[in-house]
Amino acid sequence: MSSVTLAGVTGRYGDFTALDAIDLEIAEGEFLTLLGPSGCGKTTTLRLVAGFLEPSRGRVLFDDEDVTHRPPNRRQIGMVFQDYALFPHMTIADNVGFGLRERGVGKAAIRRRVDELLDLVRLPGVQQRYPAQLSGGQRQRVALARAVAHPPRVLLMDEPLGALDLKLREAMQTEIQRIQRTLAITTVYVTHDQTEAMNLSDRIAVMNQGRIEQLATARELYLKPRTRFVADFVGKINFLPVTVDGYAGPDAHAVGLGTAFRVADGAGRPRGPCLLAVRPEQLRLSPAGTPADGCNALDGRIVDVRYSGNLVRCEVEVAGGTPVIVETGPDDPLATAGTAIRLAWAYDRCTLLDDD
Amino acid sequence: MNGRRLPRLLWRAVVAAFVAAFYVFLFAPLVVVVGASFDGGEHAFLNFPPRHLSLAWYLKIPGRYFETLWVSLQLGVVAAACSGVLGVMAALALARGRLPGAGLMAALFRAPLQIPVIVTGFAFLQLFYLASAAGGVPLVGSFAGLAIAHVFITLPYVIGTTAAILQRVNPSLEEAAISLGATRWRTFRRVTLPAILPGVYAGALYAFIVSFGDVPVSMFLAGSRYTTFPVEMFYGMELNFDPAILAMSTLILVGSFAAIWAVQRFLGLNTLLGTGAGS
Ligand SMILES: Nc1ncnc2c1ncn2[C@@H]1O[C@H](COP(=O)(O)OP(=O)(O)O)[C@@H](O)[C@H]1O
Ligand SMILES: [Mg+2]
Repeated sequence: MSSVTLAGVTGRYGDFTALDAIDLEIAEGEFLTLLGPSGCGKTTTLRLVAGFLEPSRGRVLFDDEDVTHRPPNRRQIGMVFQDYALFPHMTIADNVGFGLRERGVGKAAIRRRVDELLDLVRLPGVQQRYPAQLSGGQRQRVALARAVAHPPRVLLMDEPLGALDLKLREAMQTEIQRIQRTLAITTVYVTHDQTEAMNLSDRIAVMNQGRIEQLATARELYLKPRTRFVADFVGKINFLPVTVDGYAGPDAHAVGLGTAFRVADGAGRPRGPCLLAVRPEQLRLSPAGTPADGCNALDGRIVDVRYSGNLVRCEVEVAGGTPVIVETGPDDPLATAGTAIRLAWAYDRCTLLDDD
Repeated sequence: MNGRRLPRLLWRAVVAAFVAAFYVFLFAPLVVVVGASFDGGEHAFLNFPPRHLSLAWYLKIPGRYFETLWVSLQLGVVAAACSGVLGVMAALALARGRLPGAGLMAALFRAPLQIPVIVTGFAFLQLFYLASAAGGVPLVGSFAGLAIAHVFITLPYVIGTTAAILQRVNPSLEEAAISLGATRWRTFRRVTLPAILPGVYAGALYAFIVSFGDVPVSMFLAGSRYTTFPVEMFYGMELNFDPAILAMSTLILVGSFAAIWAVQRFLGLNTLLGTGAGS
């Protein structure tokens, strides 16, 4: 197990810069996820750590060792691929034992270790089967067992659950987490699914167009997104166009949509136009005319209501703005189309972002 | 109901007749040759159906046919083996290596298929004359000379079948092996080669068949010591009709079917021929 550091790493394909001077530190034993839309450079980052791609600038470190120019077969990594990449002509035992055999481990020791690993991924007894005889979820477990067999200094997974259906994906998330914790393996995980990222990770690096937009815990990303892109990509959020016009201690005052707002810890924002971002579930519906003491308020009218079991999603028309989405409990009596309401939210449940 | 069934029956009959005609067309010449080979009489022409059943011509097969058959078999095996090794290397370089001008190289490797074989034969003859004039290496009429030319004409088949299957091998398999600590050579040995092996076998089988049946190239390069079986047969037919050739052909036919059966049985011909060998 090692820590992994990318220091100013740039990754190019020909003239195209897929990764632009990335800095990233992954602590020993940490589960870090690269999250971002397709094409943002997640796989490229993983391939740089693995050594399949050499950076055109910058350095890759495992602990304090510079491995920038070390070929992938000598980096002691474990990789799990989206399409499993199990060797079709080998038995499960030979697949799982592949890395051990390449490292010169003896036959008996390999057999013992393979049994142990298949127990770990809860697939005992499949040693003599072939990959084609297993289901998708089972293959993914074998791929995981194979990747952690030697054991690696860092485990790299590129959308490993992308080919599985939703139920199985959720079950496998739990499995991956359990195995990663059991072995305490430094892990870099790639996904474009924010729920998956939040379920699994110690920290998440949100990527966009070859850069890391924000690196933080799931909670921090959700509550304190630093850019519009992060706010939008991680969960649902409303943006209200406002202008910062004053400060009150650590808080900022802003006006927009004919209303005055207060944003906790917004004093770092310069005066001028920006976006007030607030999550749908932070908005409360209250009857029109309710006094707004100690929180932000905005008047509007419900134009659409969608019931989805555990919650109700209302579309609220506000003066001069785009529709605001509100999520409330399924039994909220105010949640009917046509009702004039007042939206209320706490000062510390919203944040100010650049309108980029 | 009858109104609907009749056209379908009719349609089936037409298909059956077509298939039957196809097989007759395909196998009739073979049946004639095999049948005529069992006619013991002395004729200056082919006698089918045979009048006097006899194995007489089988006993009169000249020894040189067996000698040249042995040469042809050796040549076929050498050509298939060399083309197999060289073809795999070339296909790998074309598909996986980042070579500049890979497209041009691929076209070059296909060239032997596009040059008329007779031209290839003539070209090799000239080349070998030059070689022997320059360095005193006597390639014309030697086994080595024949082998070199046969590798040249059979190489495209191995490259074709191997490249076709290589394109379908998932590149992440190789990356998985490398990530697990395998060197390039070990990755090839344990992952790539097993995956492309059916294509290599298919290509080598084609190479053997092409080499074994070749007349135009071998005709130029064969000498008195090394003549291939089809060339010998060609000359045998040219002078006068010898029914022993029918007998010999029948033996070859039996041998071929036995070989196909063996390949089918032990390697699986369908998987071999299903590897995109034609492309
Ligand atoms: N082999 C390649 N050659 C050229 N461009 C590539 C190659 N691989 C990826 N790219 C480009 O680099 C960018 C990042 O790709 P990638 O890291 O695969 O994204 P992600 O995994 O986040 O979907 C994309 O714009 C993609 O088109
Ligand atoms: Mg990717």
